[in-house]
Amino acid sequence: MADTRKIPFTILRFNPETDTKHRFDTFIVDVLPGMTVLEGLHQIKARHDATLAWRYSCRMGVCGSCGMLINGRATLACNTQILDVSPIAIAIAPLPNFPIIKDLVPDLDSMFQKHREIKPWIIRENSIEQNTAKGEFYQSPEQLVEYLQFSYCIKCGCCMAACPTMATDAQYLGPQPLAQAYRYEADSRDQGFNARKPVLDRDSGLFSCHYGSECSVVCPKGVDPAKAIQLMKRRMLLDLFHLYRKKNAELCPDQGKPSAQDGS
Amino acid sequence: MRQSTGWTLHLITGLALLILLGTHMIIMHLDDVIGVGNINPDKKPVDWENVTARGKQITMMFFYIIFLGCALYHACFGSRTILLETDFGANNKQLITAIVVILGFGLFIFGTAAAIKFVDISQAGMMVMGG
Amino acid sequence: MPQKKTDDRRLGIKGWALGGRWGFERYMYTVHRITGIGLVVYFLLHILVTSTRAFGGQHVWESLMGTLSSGVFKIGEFLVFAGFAIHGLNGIRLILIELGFATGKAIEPEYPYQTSVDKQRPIAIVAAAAAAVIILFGGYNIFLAH
Ligand code: SF4
Ligand code: SF4
Ligand code: FES
Repeated sequence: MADTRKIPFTILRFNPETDTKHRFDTFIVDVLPGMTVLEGLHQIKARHDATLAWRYSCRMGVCGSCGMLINGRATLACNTQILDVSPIAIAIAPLPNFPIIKDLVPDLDSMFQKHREIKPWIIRENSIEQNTAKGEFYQSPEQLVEYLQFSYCIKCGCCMAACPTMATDAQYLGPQPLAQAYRYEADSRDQGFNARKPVLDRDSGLFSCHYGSECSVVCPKGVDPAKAIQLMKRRMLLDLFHLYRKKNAELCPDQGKPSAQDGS
Repeated sequence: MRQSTGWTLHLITGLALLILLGTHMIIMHLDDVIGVGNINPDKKPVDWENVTARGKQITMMFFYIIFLGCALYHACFGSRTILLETDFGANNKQLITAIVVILGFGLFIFGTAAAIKFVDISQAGMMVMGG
Repeated sequence: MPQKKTDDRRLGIKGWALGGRWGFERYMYTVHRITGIGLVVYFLLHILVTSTRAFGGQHVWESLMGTLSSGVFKIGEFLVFAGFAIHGLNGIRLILIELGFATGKAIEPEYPYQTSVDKQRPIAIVAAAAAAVIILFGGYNIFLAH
């Protein structure tokens, strides 16, 4: 076709069952304008090497499966057009800071583990009221915006791969879990500050972020983890001086329409 | 210890150092550009006359001691932070904390002793020069 | 039995130093560390050297200062001065950010995403420029004056 370009894809290959060291394979891909890196990988699998492994599912930036290192930047393969990255050459490796399962598939287990540790769910002091609620916890649109942005995280791990603290400290919680801690803390319905405090306020915790801000640069969903972390630090600091107060949403008895009281 | 406690002190000493070390740098290294605090302006700030002139003042002694304390804390906590973020440090947390604490306190005592002792020396020195 | 997975591909210290195609702030992170380490090393020596004024007296002090005013040490003095200027000014930026004053509030993300990095960028630029000016003055004072 007229505007196809031949672009070499250099791809890191590693099979833990047979290899001791990774190697790089290069394949020539016929690139059309608008084609994504993910489509390039499909073409390689179809035409050149059926054993190439990577992870994807939604192919539209929703599932968070296809995070990889494309020309030095951690990003989603499905969300990245080849010609936007480079018209000359593409280099792909699995996300750094994670072990490799195979080829481009990173093992994100450590991130999910840390994510679980920060208790990523709404915590209420009164769990009975929470589980058998007789109404709703009214939240204003302004209160929604306080955490909405951070709730868009798709757990792709790009931020963890880009973080310089993560690069040397395996125990560091990392931008994804820390941002999620703030996502719940910023939620007016949540009362879990004290439950999360011991997890966040320890060595390799919240304050091991030194604002390299790389996480926010690479995040494909605009989550801005670096912002969430700094706002969490501010709350933690206020708490240190016993100055932290949070107004929580009250339960509004269900009357068929939102109560007039603003709930905060 | 809560990580935030250590970090808050790091932040406070950092702010204090901006002022203290800023003053120190202006006196010692910007004497020609700004030129404040130099008691004998015809000499360089590191010349003995100026050093003793500063050292004999009790306020300067306190300045040095507070300065020393802040700088040591900031340096020790900062170094510890960097070291704990490496594999070696993460696996030897206690060792690193111990080294940093001992070094910090040791140097604080040493430096404080020097600042206190120097008050007498420079007062004596001044008398010799005056007489 | 599959053998143990390779190393966990953590980038290690390289991850601090190699910013790759990435942002200015990441280099600031690394520069802040390097200047910090440099200042600590200097500071430890500095305590020992300056204490000679109390334990060694005038002669030891003056001969030490004589040695230290030679060329190599002047460069060292300049590097320490520059390190302090950078570390101090970037430190102000970091304090503003970490206390949540320079990152902005939560917003509704709309593509192309605006992040806190853009928000604090002006502060980063001002801090870098101010550090450069101070370093110039210091350099003049250390090398050219007198
Ligand atoms: S914060 Fe962004 S980069 Fe990190 S896991 Fe979530 S979506 Fe991915
Ligand atoms: S801002 Fe913090 S979490 Fe994000 S990349 Fe930098 S150090 Fe890591
Ligand atoms: S395939 Fe789902 S995010 Fe890329």
